[in-house]
Amino acid sequence: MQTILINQEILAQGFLMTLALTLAVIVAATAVAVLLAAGMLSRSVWLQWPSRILVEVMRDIPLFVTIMMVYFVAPAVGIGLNPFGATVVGLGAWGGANGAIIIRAGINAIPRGQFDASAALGLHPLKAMRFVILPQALRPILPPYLGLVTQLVQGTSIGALIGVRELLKTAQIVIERTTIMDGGLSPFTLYGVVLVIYFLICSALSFASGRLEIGLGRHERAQADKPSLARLSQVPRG
Amino acid sequence: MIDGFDWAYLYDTLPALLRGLRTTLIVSVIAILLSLAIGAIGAVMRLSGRPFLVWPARGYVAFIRNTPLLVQLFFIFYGLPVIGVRLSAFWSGVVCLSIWGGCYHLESFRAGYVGVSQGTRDAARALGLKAWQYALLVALPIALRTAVPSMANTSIAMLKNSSYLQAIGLAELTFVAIDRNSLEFRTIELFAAICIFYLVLVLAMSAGATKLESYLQRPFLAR
Repeated sequence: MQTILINQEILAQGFLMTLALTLAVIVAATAVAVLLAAGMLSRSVWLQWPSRILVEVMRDIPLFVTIMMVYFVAPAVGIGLNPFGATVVGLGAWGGANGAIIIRAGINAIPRGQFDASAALGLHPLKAMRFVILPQALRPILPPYLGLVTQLVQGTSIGALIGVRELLKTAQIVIERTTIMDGGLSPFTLYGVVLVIYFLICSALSFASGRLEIGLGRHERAQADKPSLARLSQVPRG
Repeated sequence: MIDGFDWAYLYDTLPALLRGLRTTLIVSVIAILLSLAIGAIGAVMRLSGRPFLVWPARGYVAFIRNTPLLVQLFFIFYGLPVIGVRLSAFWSGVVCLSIWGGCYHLESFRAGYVGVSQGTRDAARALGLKAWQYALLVALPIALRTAVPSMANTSIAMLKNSSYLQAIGLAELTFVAIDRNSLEFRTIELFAAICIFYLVLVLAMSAGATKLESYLQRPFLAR
């Protein structure tokens, strides 16, 4: 405990870095997800197939490998990326592919009639999307999307391995500094504390996701006992 | 740095990569089997209705789901020796992956079991089946049908997540690639190779899962 109090400043910096990394990753992943979902839903074969293949490949390659690959391959092809950038790109690509699946499923859940009706009313496709489809599609999209955000928060810990000074990395630095004077107790306490911090952040998000699902699905109460399985299979896990 | 894709290099490194692949497969298979056992035991606890069994199971699921696998791994590999539990990199990896996957299997088992209709339960009681007979002979086969797709997803995710074990120095596929890369700088060749290995493994597992699903969907007599 002493170790943590003495080193609270550096750990707090690590925590802030984790938050900054998470925010950057959410922005990147959402941008990628919207583009890929648009591609997959497009009627043009030239947009549809490349986005489908891209999504499938990025979901099948382990997240860990993706981040390492971005970190090592970028300099090899002449792109300068610092560890922070590499983590954002790798995690953003992975999150984007998984987010695209969630968005596509949400939009596909809207009955065809809604699209036809908007077209019949003479709404421009973009306007139809904005005022008719999206407000309804957010209901199936948001809860699993928050689940994805939980995964992104957890994924930022991989940044520690390529040198981003986020929470896990700062804990490692403190462990290296203090192992001897602590009698070797520090790995247990410090990794334990890091686990608890991640647990608090992510369970708050999971709780919000659950509430949102109940809140948004009010008129579908009849099927309220089923969505947990549907949600589990939609949230990506690695 | 780009000087053409070096096939000859890849050919020379293939034996090392295949050794890594073997470790990846061994770790994943052991971990998947263990995690299924953990999931089954956990689901029984979770469904038992006794608070002193239900709450540990719930806590376990919540904790594992809401913490990063990498930190769990470091805690097991570097943290546990402090309190006298010393595991090799291999067994740390197996234990960590099984605990991680077990929590998702638990939820799939549970969701499948809860999904068995009330009518089926009533019918079993009307026929005079005991509680354990209903659970094992009636509910379980039906529950498995719903649970298999998400259990397959979890198992695939475990195979992919075995790449995290690079971080504790287990010589699996990703470790071999990163290790060779730091010596020989053949970045593109090495990562292309392991990506293809992972893609093939994942696609093969998904295909297997689809087969298994359609097999389970058929009624017993038609098998």
